[in-house]
Amino acid sequence: MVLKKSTKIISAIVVIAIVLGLVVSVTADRPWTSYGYDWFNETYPVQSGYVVDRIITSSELGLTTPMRSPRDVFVYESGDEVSIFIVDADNDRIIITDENFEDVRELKTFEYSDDYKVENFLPRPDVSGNIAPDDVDAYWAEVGKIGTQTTLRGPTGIFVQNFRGETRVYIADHHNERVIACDLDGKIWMEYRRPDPESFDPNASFRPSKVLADAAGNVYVCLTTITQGAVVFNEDGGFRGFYGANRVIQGATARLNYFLRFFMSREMMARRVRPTPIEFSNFTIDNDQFIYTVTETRGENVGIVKKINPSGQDVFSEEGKDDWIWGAFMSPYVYGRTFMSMMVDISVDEKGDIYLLDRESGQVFQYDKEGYLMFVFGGKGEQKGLFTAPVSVETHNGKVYVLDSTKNSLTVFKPTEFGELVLEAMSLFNRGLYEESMKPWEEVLKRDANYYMAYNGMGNAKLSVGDFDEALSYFYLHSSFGYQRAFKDFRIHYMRENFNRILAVAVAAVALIAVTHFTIKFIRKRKAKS
Amino acid sequence: MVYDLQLTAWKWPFYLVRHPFEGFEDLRWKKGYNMKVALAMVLAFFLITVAQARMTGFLFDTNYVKVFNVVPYFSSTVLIFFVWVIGNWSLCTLFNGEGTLKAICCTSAYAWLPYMESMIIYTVASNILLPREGMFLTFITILGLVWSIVMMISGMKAIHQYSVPKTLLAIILTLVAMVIILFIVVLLVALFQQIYIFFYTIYTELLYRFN
Repeated sequence: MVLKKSTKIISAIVVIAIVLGLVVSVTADRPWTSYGYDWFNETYPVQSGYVVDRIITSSELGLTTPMRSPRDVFVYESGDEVSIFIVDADNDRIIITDENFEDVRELKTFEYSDDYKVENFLPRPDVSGNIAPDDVDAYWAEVGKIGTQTTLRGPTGIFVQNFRGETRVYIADHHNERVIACDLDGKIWMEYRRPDPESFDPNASFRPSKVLADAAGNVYVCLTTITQGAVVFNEDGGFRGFYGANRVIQGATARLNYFLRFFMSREMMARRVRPTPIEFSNFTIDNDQFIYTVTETRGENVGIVKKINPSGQDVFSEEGKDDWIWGAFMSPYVYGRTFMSMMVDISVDEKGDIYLLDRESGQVFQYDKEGYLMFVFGGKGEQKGLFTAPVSVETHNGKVYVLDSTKNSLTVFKPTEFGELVLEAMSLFNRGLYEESMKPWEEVLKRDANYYMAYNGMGNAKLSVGDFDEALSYFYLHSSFGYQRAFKDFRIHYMRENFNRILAVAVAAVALIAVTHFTIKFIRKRKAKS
Repeated sequence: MVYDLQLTAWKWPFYLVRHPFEGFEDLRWKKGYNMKVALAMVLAFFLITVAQARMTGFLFDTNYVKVFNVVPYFSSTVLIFFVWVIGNWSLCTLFNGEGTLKAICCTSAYAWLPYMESMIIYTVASNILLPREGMFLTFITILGLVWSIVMMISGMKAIHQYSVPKTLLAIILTLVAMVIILFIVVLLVALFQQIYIFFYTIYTELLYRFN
């Protein structure tokens, strides 16, 4: 077979192009499928909102001892300086690094400094004014601690806060049964320990798993061993109460107990098993001092995510989102239940977007502040961007950090171009700037006509300029609630515009009917007469 | 009873809606049963059910519109109607009922008129109302349904010349009979399918043998 030289060259180019194309397409692909939920809560593909920016391992950080099952990550911003804290549980240390992961240091030993507030441990007189000698001894023991050093044992949580100019670090020291409050150099100024027996069950263990502090300096400690909620301490270590307990599920046990109460005595009832609420597993606080809790449960109607205001009410519940489905689920038209999602951590960014980390599927679910799903990314597996045991999620400046406790790595996600468009449109939309959000939404729809939230946004934009027909046709595609608002306005508007015409037609119709009726009667009467 | 009542066939159902109690006695006395009208009403019932499924306003539409299949609507109106008629006839002939098959068919068809009207109102009004005004629609639907049930009981009482308790018992037993009929039908279909598969297997076997 003889081929022309040009044919040979062309075929060679084609072959090379195909090979290159294959290579390129493989590297450009993400190891997860990006999806959303449509009107019928069935999955549909959408463009990816996030890609892996970089993956940080122990060697990349230049650590001499590699990380062993890290449990928590926290991103802290003060001024223009950003620090990232990683709680390395099995090595009993805190790793502190900057945004670019260049400047790395460890916090391993902590010192009771001169700032250690021993006055918080001063013995308090009881009701009759006596001071127990044990309390005096305990106070002197605290005083004796000043200048000594201490280490962590299995820390599991960290929270860093800018409290009126000073940086406060709170560490949940799990096995030492305490929360230590120190500064960035490890100088302890306060310790939060098990409350008095009269306020906290002495049989329950006090092992803090997560910790956070609000703007007033109150410290919230999440324990996975009690169901009353988080333990709240005053700034000076006084027990303040419990916070944010979940509801009891009204299941079979609760109903049976209610029924049996009519027949059984108090003593008999006391011996029965009582249903208890599921304890929440993690929490976070946003800039407006709302505390978000997340509960590891599967399909039970307990409010997997709760947004609790300072007076202790669940905002999502007030908004009627009690049975809101968070995380992965199957269509209620097919299965009618959620499945498999076990939310292990939650993070809220400065715009109010909620990020949930699903331990079971390894996915991060990004919701806007109203609870509408924006993006799903990540997954279970060994490839880049997938996890084997994700434990913690954090967000800062548009980037999402996910910590994996068996891969011992921190994965950084950044939004794609499409993701940035959606985020921009969403942020304008949530601030109520509907007309301004129209342009980015149109751009989003150009890139992915499947992105249903864009139709909702376009509908609102059109409604705010009074274009009812367009608004209705956009809402028709995704939003029943939006359609309802648009339709209500449209109805009033239509009646105002056309009232005279409608009235005229109605009067004419009534007159016509009456006239024909009487005419027929009249004709019949005449016929009957003749 | 109105002895000098003269009505054309298609006007009877509308008269019955306005006179649900003595109207059926009139119908029996005047022999106003008309199969054409009855079958047209059954067909209309089917069409209205489909129209309601397809044309309910967006805000009231809870149907899964990704897949629309007309067969369930057909079987839940037309099929179930004839099963009811056959069940009632076979039961009431044994229970000293005086109604003929034609009478049962016409009465049952005429009795559903109020419900059909309420469905039409629902479909039209759901395009105008908001969900929070939906209680009017619920009210109209319930009204139509209750009216139809009252007409059905009254009609059954009139054509079979039963007392009220016996009518109610007959209706409950008719429902049981319907379940039995449907069970037997399903059983028969399954058996015939087996027979069909048996012969089809022989046929394919022969094909393989002789090719």
